[in-house]
Amino acid sequence: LQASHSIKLSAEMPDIETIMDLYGEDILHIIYCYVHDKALAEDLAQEVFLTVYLKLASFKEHSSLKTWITRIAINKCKDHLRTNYIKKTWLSNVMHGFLKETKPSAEEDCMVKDRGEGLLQAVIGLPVKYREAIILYYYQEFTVKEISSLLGMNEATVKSRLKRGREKLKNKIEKEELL
Amino acid sequence: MDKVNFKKGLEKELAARLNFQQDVKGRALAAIRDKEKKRSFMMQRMLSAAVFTVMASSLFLFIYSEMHSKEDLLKVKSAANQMAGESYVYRDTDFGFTLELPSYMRNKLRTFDSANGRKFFFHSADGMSLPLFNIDIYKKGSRDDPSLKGRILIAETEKYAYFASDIKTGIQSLKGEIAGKQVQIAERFAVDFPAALAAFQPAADDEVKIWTKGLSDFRVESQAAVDMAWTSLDKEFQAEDFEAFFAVTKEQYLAPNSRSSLESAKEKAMADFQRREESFMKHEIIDVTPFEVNQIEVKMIAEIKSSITDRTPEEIKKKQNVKSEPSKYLATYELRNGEWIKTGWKKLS
Repeated sequence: LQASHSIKLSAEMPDIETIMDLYGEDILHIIYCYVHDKALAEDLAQEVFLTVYLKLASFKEHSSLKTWITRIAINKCKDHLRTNYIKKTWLSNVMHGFLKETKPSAEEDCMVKDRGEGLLQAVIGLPVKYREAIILYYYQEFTVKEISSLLGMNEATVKSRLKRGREKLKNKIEKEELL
Repeated sequence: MDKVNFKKGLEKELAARLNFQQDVKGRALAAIRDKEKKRSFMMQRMLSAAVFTVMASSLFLFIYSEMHSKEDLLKVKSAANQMAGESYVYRDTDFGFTLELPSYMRNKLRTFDSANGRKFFFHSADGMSLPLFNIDIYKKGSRDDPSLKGRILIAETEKYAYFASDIKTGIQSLKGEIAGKQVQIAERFAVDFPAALAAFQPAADDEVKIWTKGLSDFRVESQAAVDMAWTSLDKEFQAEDFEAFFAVTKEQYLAPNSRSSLESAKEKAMADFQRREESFMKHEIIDVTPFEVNQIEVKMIAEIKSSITDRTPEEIKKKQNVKSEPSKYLATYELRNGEWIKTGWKKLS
């Protein structure tokens, strides 16, 4: 494996490097929207493509390759969030006071807005269950049916979460603009 | 905000913050290569371990089989005999070979020495011992002729060939001598005999005692038997037939008072004798080689030179250069009630 392009998976499948070129950015973005940490998102994206490489032989093509990789990415993220829930809870309790004091100042808020990160912040500020529905539908452009399959829930629930997510996001954006 | 603007806006923000090609792709590929190397290394180790295991197992099996080959072979082969019931292993004290025999024959077999192996006699309930089969051992390249009818090659080693005689012949001879129930046992054994032969195991060549014991020792032991058989054989060929025949023809052809008629009768007799050339033969035993000898039976290869006798000088002169080729006969004598009785006479060549 001296050259990356030598990592060929099968005659029909694109090699792993091509898969990375096709879906790498999207997967990294989804992961970031889940974990909201650049370094962690990069690590998880690396893990996702390692898993893809190792498991691609077992890919049954019941869904598209993108859906399959996205499902791996979502599972990785949820695993991470689950295993870090206790740590996060403990950390948030301990650091609560400190974090309050380190709330961004009005000046810092303006700088963020200048960088055009208001929308992203608003999305990331949504609870995970709405955030993932919004990202997958509006950003990754999966259908409701695909999202229901990816997240393992029925389509009505997806629609409901999309509706609630949209409302929450709208409120957030409007609130941010008012500020 | 519509869907398109939302996507564009979010994409712009994420792209400004994250760069997969720059920050992740290289690391991901390196991780994949590393994993592949580890997997390859593990495969090599597993392969090496497998090869080592196979080699070690083979070595162990080789040593084990070398140590237990004979026992294992007997165990495996015993399965055939166990089909017919219990069995026991007969191990010959002189020749070292083993035979796996059915248990019902344990007290039914008597063994006797033989120059070329072992003779097995059927020991009947009434105390009679009758020949059943032989296991004969021939040194390869020796002058002995094992190619006798009814013998089958059962094993060969580097030095020796092992033959078994046809048990059916033995059973045929039993039938007239022993009771029917006893014959049934022998016939049952005939069914199991092939399995016994299949389980036949020759000893290692250097363990075959008969050859270390030497034929000379054996001959000393059986010299008396050979001498007796020789005498009997010698008597057998004293041209007695000719003398008797001549006496008859003499009376028939010779006129008491006519020398010429005597001569003519003699000539006529000679003519008759010539037609019956056998009657003119004088048999001279030039060699006798013990073939199978034991206390109760002798087989010899008799080399006999036959020559024409009682010819006119002209005829003798005419035919004196004609020599008969020596013939070989297999002569069999059995010791019955202290006397050697001829039981077989067969021309071999």
